[in-house]
Amino acid sequence: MPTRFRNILAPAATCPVVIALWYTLWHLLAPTQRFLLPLPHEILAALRDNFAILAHAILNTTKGALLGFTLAVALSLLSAVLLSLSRLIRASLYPYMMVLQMTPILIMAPILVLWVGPGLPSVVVITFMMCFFPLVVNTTQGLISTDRGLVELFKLYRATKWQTLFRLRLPGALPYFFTGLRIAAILAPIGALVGDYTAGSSVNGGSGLGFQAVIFSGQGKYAALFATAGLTCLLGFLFATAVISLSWLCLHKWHDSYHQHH
Amino acid sequence: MSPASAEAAKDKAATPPHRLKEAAALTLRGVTKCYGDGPPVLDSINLSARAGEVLSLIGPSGCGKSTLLRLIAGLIPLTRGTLEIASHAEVGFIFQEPTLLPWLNVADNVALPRKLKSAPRGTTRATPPSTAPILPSTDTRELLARVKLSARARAYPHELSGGQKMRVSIARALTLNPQLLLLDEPFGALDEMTREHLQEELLALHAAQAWCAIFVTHSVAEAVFLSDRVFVMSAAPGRLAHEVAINLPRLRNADTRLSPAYQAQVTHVSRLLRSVEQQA
Repeated sequence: MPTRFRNILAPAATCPVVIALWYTLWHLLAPTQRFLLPLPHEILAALRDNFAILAHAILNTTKGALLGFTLAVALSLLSAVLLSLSRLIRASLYPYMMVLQMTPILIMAPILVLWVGPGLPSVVVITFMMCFFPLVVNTTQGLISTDRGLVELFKLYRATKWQTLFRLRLPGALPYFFTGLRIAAILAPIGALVGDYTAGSSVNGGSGLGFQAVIFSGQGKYAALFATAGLTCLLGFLFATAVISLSWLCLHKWHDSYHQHH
Repeated sequence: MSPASAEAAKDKAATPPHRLKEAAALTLRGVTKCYGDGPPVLDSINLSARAGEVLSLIGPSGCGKSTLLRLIAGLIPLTRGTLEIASHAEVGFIFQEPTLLPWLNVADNVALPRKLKSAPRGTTRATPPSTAPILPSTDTRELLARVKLSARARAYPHELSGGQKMRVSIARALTLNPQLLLLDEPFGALDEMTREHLQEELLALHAAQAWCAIFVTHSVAEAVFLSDRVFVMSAAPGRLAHEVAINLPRLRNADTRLSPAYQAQVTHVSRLLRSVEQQA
């Protein structure tokens, strides 16, 4: 398929160019400033030297991101069904959900450390806080945007409330849900990283990429810091790919967004 | 007595005895619909349809013909009057739009009414399952063959043309073997040729199953071609102003459209429609 060909081959072709630019930039820097921009091979070496620590860190961050993300998906689905019931419920609850989204994580972190303890519990809650809002807003919008003709059709056949929910409203809300899910998938690793950075803990080997970034920058290990950044990108990429694939699986057969290229 | 009910009475008197034995598929007496405290949208509608009869409702925009169809379907409550549908009769409804579930393929869309019926009932439904004999629902494959969509059973709605989508919608409405079929301008959005083909196919389906149909349309030609009786409605409030019996042989095809008898009926109904519009 030409599209897939383009999407894989084009970045692969530009890769040597980016790396060449990287080395050129390094050569242009004054020798005393070159430590600011570790070279790709130095970053790979740092990755190798710190492999055990980083592998452990990425596992911990993945665990925090997955738990927070899953919790956000589950609670947002239940909340969206509740919110879709009436305007009054939406008007009463939306402001509190916005508060959840708007409270800066930097301020919440120390509070969460007090409430649920440092490390994984705080990381999960912070990831949840970042992912929940886009999910609940999009899914609710999907549930209240059900085609009116289809609602009448279900009414005509005297469908029960559960049939209408599971056979009509939820499948109809799927495209909206996946819009929220894509945003949440990008936010989840960032949330876990920020959570770990601000409320992480190395007790019982619980430190993640955020915590490791604090340590590497304190030690002046800039190549290792860049390696940590690279792994965070990789994690974000994996989350996004997983969700985009899932979305394709559920929607490509019937949804318009996959059929615009005729 | 309104002109329509007078006509209806005359019609009853003229009905041969063997016809009287047939149960009325649908009877409306003094059906009135108001929204809130507003003036009636529909006023004292009297209408009786026999099993197997095809009736059309035609009238100016806003005369309440779609509202009347929705009242009969039970989608909206009536304000006054009585509405009787033969007991245990299944009602099928065909909307203006094909109204298909985009995530189900053609076969699953057609089978939807059966799925909604057969699923275990929770406590949300008050009435227990009826013990009355219910006609077996028509097999999905057979229905698809009848609407000429056997080859597209696995296709999704976005892969179909407008006419094909409407065929799916028709097959779905026939799934539970309805004794009463309500059609709300189903072919309005289609091109002329597709429209005429679908009219002929609908009559072929009717010949096979003989449901009673109420057809709402803007097209005089369509109303005359399909119906045994055409009702011309007046607006504000909506009333049945004229009833026209269509005296054409029941078996109609493309040639019918060329016959002088058909064209005379079209002219007659068009004049009545024009007179109703002028009074408004």
